[in-house]
Amino acid sequence: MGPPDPRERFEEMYTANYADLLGYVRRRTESADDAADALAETFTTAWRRLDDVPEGEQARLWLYGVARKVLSNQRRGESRRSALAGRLRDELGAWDAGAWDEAMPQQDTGAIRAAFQRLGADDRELLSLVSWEGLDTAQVATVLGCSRGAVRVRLHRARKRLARELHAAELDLTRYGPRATALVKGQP
Amino acid sequence: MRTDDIDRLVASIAPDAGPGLTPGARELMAGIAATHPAPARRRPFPVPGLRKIHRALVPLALAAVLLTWTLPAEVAFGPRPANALEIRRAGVFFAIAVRDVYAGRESYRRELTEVGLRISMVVVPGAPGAVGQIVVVHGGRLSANRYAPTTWTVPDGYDIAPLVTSAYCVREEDCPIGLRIRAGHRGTETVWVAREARPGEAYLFPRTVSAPPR
Repeated sequence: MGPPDPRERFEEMYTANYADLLGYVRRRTESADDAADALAETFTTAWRRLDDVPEGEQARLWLYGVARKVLSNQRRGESRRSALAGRLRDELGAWDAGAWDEAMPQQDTGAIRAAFQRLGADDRELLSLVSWEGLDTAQVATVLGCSRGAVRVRLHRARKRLARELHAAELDLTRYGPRATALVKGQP
Repeated sequence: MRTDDIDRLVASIAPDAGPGLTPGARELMAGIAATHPAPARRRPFPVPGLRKIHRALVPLALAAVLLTWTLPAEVAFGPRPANALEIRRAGVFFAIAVRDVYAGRESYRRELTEVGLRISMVVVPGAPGAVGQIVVVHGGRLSANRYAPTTWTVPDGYDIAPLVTSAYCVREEDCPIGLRIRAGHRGTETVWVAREARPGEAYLFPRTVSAPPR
């Protein structure tokens, strides 16, 4: 049996990972347009470099790494509107319009969000990859292109910084368990 | 892990992950593959010597695959066991028991993805009579630390149903909550599972699943 047809392989990889990539870019972009364009550019890169895309679970991590660079370029104003993403842009825009007409954020979670936003971009990305994308240390290291040890150290520091920000905001950490409180107090 | 609580705080502010694989997303996929030229296929082993090594490795790789098929599950290679969920294959269904009701949807999602499921699962506090019930939330929006559902429905049981717990229960306290879902189900629904509320905790699960949302 020969190697799979490139188009078949691309479509299989796309459908298996699209939802995860959509979540990744939506959580890091301000508008539906930016999210749609980032998705278009990420998957276009994957198509052009299909031989470089690893198989299975590793494909998702590879795509996260590409999307991360695409978003970085986007923040520098180096992206362009993709003509291929017109309908997707509309769909995501409609989804966004519905997403924010619901209940207002509660006060304590607003405080968590504000504390999180006060962190540096690198800290936010590390914590997000773990808690939003559900990656473990090794997977984060793959996405960021660094060692597991470096991820562990940076992650620990990021968690401590967030805990301090939450403490400074006088959020009642005891609601979230003794470990959160211990972390603020500098215990491992 | 000693920092789970911080991770859960961060998870609680995760923005919504979006509508999944929509028609526009499929259109994008077709557009990319049609508009841009197909990638040039590289030879997997351009160095002649490596090609010979490759041929020599084929029987070894085949033997390794056969070994993983024949070894008992306890000693076979594979993903580490899930800890927030206990997922068993039961015929054409997966029986999914929630072992950590506070683990958070990202943990559940990671473990569900490992068996090819795309649904989102959220465990929310419910009234005592509702514990173990499930609803499929439509138009649910993550806002702050909770979802604000637009509507919900009780699944018809064909693809998704509450977990039948009789196989798990030795004592009543051991009975897990969870759901049963058809293997190969490709939906991206958000399923709420009702857990017992802690003292003073507000019920988020619908009080009566047939009632309109609060």
